[in-house]
Amino acid sequence: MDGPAPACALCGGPVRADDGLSQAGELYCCTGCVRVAEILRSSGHRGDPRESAAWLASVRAGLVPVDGPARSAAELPEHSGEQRNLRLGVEGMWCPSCGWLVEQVLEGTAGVHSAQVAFVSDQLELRYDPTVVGPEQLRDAVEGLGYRVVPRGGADQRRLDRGLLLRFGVAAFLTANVMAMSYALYAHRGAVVTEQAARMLPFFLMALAAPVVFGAGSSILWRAWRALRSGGLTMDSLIALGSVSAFGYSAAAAFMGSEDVYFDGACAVITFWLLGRLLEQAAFRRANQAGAAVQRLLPRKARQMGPDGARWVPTERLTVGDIIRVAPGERVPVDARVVEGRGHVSTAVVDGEPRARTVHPGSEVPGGSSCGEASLDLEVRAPASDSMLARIAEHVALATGSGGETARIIDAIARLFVPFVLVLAVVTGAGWMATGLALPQVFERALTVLVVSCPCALGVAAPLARVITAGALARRGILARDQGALDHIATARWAAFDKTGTLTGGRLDLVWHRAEGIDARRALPLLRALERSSAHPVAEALRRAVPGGEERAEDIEVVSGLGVRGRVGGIPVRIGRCGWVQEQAGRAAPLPLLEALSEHEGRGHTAVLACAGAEGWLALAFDDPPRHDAAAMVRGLQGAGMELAVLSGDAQCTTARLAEDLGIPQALGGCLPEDKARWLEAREREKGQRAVFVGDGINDAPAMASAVGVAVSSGTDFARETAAVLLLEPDLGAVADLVQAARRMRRVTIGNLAWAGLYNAVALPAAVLGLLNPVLAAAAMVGSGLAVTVNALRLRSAGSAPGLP
Amino acid sequence: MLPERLILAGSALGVGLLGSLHCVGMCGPLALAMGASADGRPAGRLALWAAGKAATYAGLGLVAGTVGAAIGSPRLGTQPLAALAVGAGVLMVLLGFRGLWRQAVPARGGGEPISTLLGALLRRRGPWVPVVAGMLTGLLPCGLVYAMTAQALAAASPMWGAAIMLAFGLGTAPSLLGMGALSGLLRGRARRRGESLAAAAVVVMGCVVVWRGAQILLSQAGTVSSCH
Repeated sequence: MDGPAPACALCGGPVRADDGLSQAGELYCCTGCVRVAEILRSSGHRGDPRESAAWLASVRAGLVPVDGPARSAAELPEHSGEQRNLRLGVEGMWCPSCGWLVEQVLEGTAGVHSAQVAFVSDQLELRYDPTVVGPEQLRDAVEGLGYRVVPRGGADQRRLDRGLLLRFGVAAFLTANVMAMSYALYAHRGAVVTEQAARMLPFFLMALAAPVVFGAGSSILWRAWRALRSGGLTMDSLIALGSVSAFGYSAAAAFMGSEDVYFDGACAVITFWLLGRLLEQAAFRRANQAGAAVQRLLPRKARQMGPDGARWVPTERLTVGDIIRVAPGERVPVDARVVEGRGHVSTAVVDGEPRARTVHPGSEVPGGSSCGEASLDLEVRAPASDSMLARIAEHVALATGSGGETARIIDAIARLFVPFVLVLAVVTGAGWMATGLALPQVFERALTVLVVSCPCALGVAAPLARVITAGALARRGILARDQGALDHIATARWAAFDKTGTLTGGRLDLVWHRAEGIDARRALPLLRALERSSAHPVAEALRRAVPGGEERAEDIEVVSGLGVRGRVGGIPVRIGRCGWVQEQAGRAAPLPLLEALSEHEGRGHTAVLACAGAEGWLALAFDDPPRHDAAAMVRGLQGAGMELAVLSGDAQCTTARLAEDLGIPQALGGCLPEDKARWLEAREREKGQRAVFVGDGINDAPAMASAVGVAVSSGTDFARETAAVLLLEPDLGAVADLVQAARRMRRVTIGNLAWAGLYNAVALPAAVLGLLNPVLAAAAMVGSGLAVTVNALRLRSAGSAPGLP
Repeated sequence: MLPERLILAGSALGVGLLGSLHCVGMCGPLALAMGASADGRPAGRLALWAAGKAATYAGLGLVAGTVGAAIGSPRLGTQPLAALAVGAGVLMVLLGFRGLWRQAVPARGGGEPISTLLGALLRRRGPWVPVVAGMLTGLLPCGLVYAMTAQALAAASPMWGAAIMLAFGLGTAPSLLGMGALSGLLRGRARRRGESLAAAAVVVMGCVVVWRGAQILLSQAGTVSSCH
């Protein structure tokens, strides 16, 4: 016994080589130790559990072996290291515990690295090792559990609904009859039916009930059975067990000549369950529009060009290299390259760029762009499912289904709940039996407990709220794509903004000008003519500020970094930096102008001097003004009780001025990208206050990664990569809507969970004490699920609701 | 009947005391992790935690006792209860022997959602955290808990089932509370002896339970055969 046995990585107790449990490369003596190690790991950081604070404290206290056991890498199966992704649509997952079962079973399959189910969007994403297992086997594994695998992109929802509706219709009709006749049977004691009929009735009821339980309810029974064989308990298990045991008991009673039959209960469970499913599915389908809203932007059909002209084909059938034609005003269905034609396309929905892009043969056009005035022939560059927009849409669909820590906690509770109810039913039966109650009543009470406590309300409370909110936001042009991002936003105390391009439009406007020796109305058109074709921000601002005139400029010369000179109508005109313009003019500008310019410079404006002819001087100041909707957003967020700050790379005085203009109390200028991230992290670490960061540029990426990032529509690709939420439209009001919607989601989720908790807290004791009967219990169960669903449906209008209380 | 049950509850206390030396190896880091997140008064939090754990055990005992009581209800006669006692006792003896052999009464499978919840809980604050954490800890897979639950089942009374498990839970408390002082005992010989003694106690208690059940069964077999 004192042999060199390996030690448990947690408690240090001996582990027999053939008996140890291996987890994450460590060897443990028992499941308990495995679980505790897991807790320590999750309470610390993601990395080595041995570096978590709790673990180190345990080592110091002498609770955990210091040296650590030999790592038993040999126990881990060898993988080639190669990984592939597979995404499947899975039909027939009726509750999150089904999703959990699928995940568990597939993760236990050799060669599968990870399996993630988005219950709400009916999607399964797998990472697997193709050298160990193939897609066909994975599909079979899912179907082996009793679910149907459908091509990606979603189930044939309409067919599914009709099947469910038919089942429900048949079940409801038969159940109504069974219940009516059961009451006749109960009333037999009042001699409503003859003795003869009373003896026959149970068999008649059985004949009516059998199709309900084993026909309409077959899929539930089937799946409960499969789940059981895979070692799992799902909500189906409760329903199936309740219904089948009621039927079996009643059948036995009927054959034994007893009139204590519960066929009505057996049927009611199935029927109410189907009704609940029907309502819930309709709600989910309408709600799950987050991904669909994006996907709708993509055409489903494309004009494929062949030797015999154009014909319409489904976009899924397009392959790389096909030539398609897109007519003016249509959207480009896939990522493609122009081969014929030139014109403009708008890529606004893909990258938020509001200006149309000029395209010509050779230009790449992302799927989802809309075609301008000319028809284009394009070569397909990627299959439809791989277009950038489709990937974003799928990402959104997957992310909204499974979300963050809240969802994991609820999932854990739901999984404990089913075994708990089973035990409770047994204990209830046992308790009543111990009191000497007759066996039929004992059975009825245990059955009631099984039926009343469906964790459905619990299971859908959070995901339904999240998916409805995400769908409503998507319709509003707000894509939440990170798991748990909405949870995070709902609890955020701070909103911090980048300045340029986020709070401001990111472009200069002429805010002030003064002329000396020339009329400004005369001078400005000259400058505009000179700057006619320049791409410089100042030139763009001038073109916007001054209406176009007749003048034409000649001899235009751009001196990089200094200014522009040329002649307009024979007059020499120069515009640019103060010093350079004076040098060019060969004399000094009037002092008042120069003083005014330096004062504007001090305020953070861009100051420009111009000189026209011999005596005309013009001083101009440009500024990047706040977006027109910035002030409204600030008011909205402050009204919601959030604290605001501007974090900018610009000078402190410029940043502070903008903050003051908008009424934002905190301003931090001169920030490096890491400074922004550090500032946000400090808030979270020191005060536990979470933050949302709204930005657009590459220099915002670290801040977005450290808080919840919201990328505004004109954002760079990089900012959009790191952001958890994308705003598809150039509208800052969306930020306030986002916060409100997230908070409403949180309130509804908490309300739903509270309701589910309250319901069970009331219904379970009532059932245990025998105050309910199975039929009533089935109705209550569906009612509670329905209450949760209806409550969540209130979230369907994001942002349009009036202000928060 | 009463003194016998008192003795069983007392021995459950002993099993808790001795067996908790393993418990400290396993649950101790958990308790520390909880204490580490606290601001002061770790002893109070630890006590609350131990109380939560004992409450869960008592609840398990209540459930097991109720089930036992139903099986032992007079209407079913005495055989089912006797058979149950024999089964539970055999389970305890097996668990105990496995414990003697492997140094820790074994536990397999399950517990994953519990660790998820506990992990999330440890990052929160509040006076209720230690109580809830303790209650969840009581649900972690543990061979000794299984053995004691079998004992509670065989007690065939909700009250006594709860009492036996509560005694066991209280028995595990001292070594968890005095973790710092006891850390010397936690390695090497002392711990192994403690665990072996606990396992042996489980075997003995199992034997008692089997014996009680067998007595009933045998006496009835006797009466049945004497009829013929």
